[in-house]
Amino acid sequence: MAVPEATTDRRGVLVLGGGIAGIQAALDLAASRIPVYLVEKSASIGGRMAQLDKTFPTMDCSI
Amino acid sequence: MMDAGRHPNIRLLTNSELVGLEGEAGDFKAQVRRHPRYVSEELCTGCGVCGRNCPVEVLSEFDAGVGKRKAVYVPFPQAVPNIYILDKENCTECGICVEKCPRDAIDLDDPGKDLELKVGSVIVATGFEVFDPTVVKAYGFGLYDNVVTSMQMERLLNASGPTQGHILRPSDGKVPRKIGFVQCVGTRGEAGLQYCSRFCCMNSIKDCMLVKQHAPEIEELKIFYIDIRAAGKGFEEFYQRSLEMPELTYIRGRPSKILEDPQTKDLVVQVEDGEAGKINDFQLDMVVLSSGAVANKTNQKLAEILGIEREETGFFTSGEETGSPLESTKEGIYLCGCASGINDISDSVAQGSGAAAAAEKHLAKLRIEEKKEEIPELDVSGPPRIGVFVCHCGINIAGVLDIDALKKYAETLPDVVFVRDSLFLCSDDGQRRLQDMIKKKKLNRVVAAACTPRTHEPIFRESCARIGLNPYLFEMVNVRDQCSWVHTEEPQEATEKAKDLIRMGVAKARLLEPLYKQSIKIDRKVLVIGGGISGMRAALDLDAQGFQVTLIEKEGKLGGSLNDIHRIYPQDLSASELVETMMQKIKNSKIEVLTEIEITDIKGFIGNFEVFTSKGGLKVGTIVLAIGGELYEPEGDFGYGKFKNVITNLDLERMIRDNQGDIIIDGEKPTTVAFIQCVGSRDLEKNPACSRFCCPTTIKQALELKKRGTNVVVFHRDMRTVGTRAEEHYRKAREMGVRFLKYSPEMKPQVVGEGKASGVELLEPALNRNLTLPVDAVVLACGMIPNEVETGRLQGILKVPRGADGFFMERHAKLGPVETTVEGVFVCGTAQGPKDISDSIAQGSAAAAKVATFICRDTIELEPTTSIVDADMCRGCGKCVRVCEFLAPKLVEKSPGIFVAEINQALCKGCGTCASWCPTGAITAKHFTDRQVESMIETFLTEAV
Amino acid sequence: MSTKLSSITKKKTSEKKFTPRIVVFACNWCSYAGADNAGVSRIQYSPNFRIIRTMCSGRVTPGMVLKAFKLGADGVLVSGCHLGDCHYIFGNHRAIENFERTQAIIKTLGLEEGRLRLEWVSAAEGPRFGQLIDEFVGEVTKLGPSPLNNSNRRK
Repeated sequence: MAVPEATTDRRGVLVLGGGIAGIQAALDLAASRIPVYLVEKSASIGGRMAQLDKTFPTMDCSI
Repeated sequence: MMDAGRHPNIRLLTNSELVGLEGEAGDFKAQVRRHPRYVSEELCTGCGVCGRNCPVEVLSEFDAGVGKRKAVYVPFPQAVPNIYILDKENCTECGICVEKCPRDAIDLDDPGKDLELKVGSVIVATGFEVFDPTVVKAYGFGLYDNVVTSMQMERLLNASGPTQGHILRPSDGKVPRKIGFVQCVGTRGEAGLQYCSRFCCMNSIKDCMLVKQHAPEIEELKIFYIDIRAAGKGFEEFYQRSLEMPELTYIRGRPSKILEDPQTKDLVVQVEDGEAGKINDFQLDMVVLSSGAVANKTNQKLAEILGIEREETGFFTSGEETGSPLESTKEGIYLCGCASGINDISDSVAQGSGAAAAAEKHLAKLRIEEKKEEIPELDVSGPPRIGVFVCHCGINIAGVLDIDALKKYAETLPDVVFVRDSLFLCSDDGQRRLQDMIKKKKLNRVVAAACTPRTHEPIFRESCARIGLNPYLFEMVNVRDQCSWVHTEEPQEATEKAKDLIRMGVAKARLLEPLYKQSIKIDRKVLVIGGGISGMRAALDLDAQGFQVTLIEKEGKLGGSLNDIHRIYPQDLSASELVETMMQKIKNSKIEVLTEIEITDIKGFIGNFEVFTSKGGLKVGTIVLAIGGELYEPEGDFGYGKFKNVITNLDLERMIRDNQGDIIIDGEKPTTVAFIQCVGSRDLEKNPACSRFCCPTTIKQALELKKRGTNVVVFHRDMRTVGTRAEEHYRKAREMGVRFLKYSPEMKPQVVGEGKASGVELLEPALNRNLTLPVDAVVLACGMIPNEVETGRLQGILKVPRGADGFFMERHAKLGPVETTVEGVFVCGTAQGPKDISDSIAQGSAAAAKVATFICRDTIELEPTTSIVDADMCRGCGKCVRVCEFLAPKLVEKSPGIFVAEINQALCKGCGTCASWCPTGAITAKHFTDRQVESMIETFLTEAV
Repeated sequence: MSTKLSSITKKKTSEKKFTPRIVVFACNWCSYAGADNAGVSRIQYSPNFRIIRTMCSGRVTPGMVLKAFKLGADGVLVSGCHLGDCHYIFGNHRAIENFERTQAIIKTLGLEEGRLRLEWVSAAEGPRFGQLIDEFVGEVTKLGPSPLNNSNRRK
């Protein structure tokens, strides 16, 4: 049985997905003083980009 | 990624899922299910004892199935949060981990949690799945050992992947000599998917370059492709560089079959050569299937929960049709990244920011009140007490350098009172221990021997600041990127070098001084320069958040290049209606619109810009550059200017816009029209970049002509129909009988005729002879170039740099597409590079989000690493004034006839050039003082190990 | 230790030979980033140098370079962004002027011109950074120990 947790009071933006787009959205909102709930179905954020070695065209390391 | 895990305004809910949503925009209630992790997030420190002792090994999802993990694991080394998770499916419940965990963090009966959250808006950024290539039976994925997916290749290439970056053939662990990449697996008409997934071409090119770097002995690299779609800023240039690799050949055609030699496990790729009418065989050691991206299977369920619509493709339906590419079909729910279709990284980042801007408007009145956390400052007076922390970075550093030797050596250095190593110093856990030690050992200077300060210094500085240690008392020593990674084969020399570097870092640390950030007031008003689609979008998004915006346009009317466009591809959206709708919205907003206005000068700095225009001055705090690009003028190319029936795609667009019936070119209704692609783009001399939108534009125009009964032939190099539904329209055009002929840059088509163009001549490579196609008109698909006059002028005034392509340069090609190196100045739309309307709109929104991050406060903090003048030592020579490009130093008359330099701290960028030119040594470049730099030189050369 | 990543042959360490000591000044935005890029790309090159990071190549004073030579450095490399790419617009132009002034002085000190170099390396030019270091180390090795490097070395 799941234990219900008390409702979180602050109203914020719900971001679904912790890949690069979701992280970017969350960071910009947070920097603009908006509370964010970043929901990710896997155990870590990072998404696809965390799997990449380097990215084109600058060959930057992706994390 | 690290930042998102650390930000106080972000609550991370990993291993969680949305299960219900009620209410409406501004006032939703979201039910979130936190699945059981079986490891307590509060207690776990990520120490890894559980994983090391777990007896179960399974294939790692993160390594795309080419590596292994335990049943209790962290998904990858830099995971955020760095907390273990137990995989109940594979766990044997032996209980070893429960017993071994030093913090009793593991609970095999964890029930999970249900949360209810109050949310004002929702952003859907749920990404994509990779197409499962087992469906394409002819390629033998899953049957042949040496056929892998591009994601698997990515993990093989990754230095922190399962093979430490060695490319090894799955069948025998040998280094392959010949590798083939098969493009469009699952996409572009295969296996039922019509669309193009946009990034795979570039990804394979990148992989080829990386293979060459990781395994220089590689003999052959082959890319089997239909069109190379290098459509994005800097992409074409990247593709051109790949053409210089002797090992790499591009082979046009979709392989029909892959065969395996059951003994050697070598592969044969069969490709039909359509023109020669035969099948070519290619012998390869390994084949990488460039699998396309598909919509998440879970999208259907999510769409039901959210109450939004989906496309046939499974992606969510966006408002792209109505010029709002980031909106879903429900108010208050926004889409970004690969939620509504396939995007590459920089577009996903721009969309992420853009969605933030849209989502923000529902909560603009509910911003968090920021209380400045008063952290008591640690007392750092007295002699230096230096702590040295050595990071293993997994095996990245520890695999090469002798960590114990480094630790022992560091202990011998002057003023070093504490030394410690850490597996991952940057992990939450590593940082926490660093903080504990600073407090416990009363450290007043910290040196970290780890990776590069360019990425990690901010993280360490913040950790110091949070416990009250002035962050500028931290010094970073780069023993990974500039040592262990580049001297892998000389571990001894590398360790000696690391010792020197640590000694140098300690020498500097001894001289570090606490620095303090100043804050300055900022003006919350925003100036948007350029009234095209992206500028209008940026202005509207800021207005919706309640900010005061001035939008200026040099022409008499808003709309920019949209005013020339008839209908916007790939949707059937009327450009004039879109402009009209947006103008109406602007009219109903508080945005101040000034037209027929020119900027003459801008003075000042972030938060305090003074703008001088032909119609008077204004004061703003931030500036958005949305000045757009221009179409290339093809004067003299392909008979343009000589023949009246050779026109540009823009000319044709205007004709289609103004004419519902027949299109009349040079007085006649043409029977056959030829399009020539890549005019003034993908041209090494004129403009090497691909402009991205011309191929889809041509398709749209070809369909318009076809509807009116005109025959169409398109001469192209690669049809780059990327973006929503563009590939589907390309298919439709082919079905409707539009002919597509490929040409190479060495053999460009020639427009021939007397008095008027009457044919297009092209070398037919298969027949090796010239073929002349009779035509009645020629349309040149002209690429986009920067608006030279305006871009140049604003570069001069604002010092925003331009890239090699002449467009404004973004701060980071992937992660900062709408920021510039000048603080407080942002760029969006085609001022940053060629792009289509949807991407321009997304960038407009993104720029708005970035502006909001500044102007949601009254003040900003300035970096204290600037230069300052000691007035007593200054003799007023003015050299500093002459060498500074940012107008920071000024001579001030202190007493009659006595001038002394002063440096405006808000303008100073901290380069330290003035300090190097000051003849009296009156200028100090903080954090890089003469004494600090010289002490590093001294200790390197005089105190050799 | 991980196994070989590149085909560069292992240098012999058995015989005692002159290994130069070189100071490299690298600007934060381009050259230092280029050196990082070499790492990210696992470029293998000579370890006989130590990098000192400054924000801009224009920050490097003649005094710093001369100090290095005075203390026995066998070579000094100042590196910055390519012309036109400077993060501070013309900082690297100032570096050229500083370099020319310094070059004139080291000649009068009796040092070979080849011991001091100014080079541009961008953030994306990891391979070039490695090549450049190898090349410079080679050149300085050919020149032999600096005439000024004697008393200050402990061994």
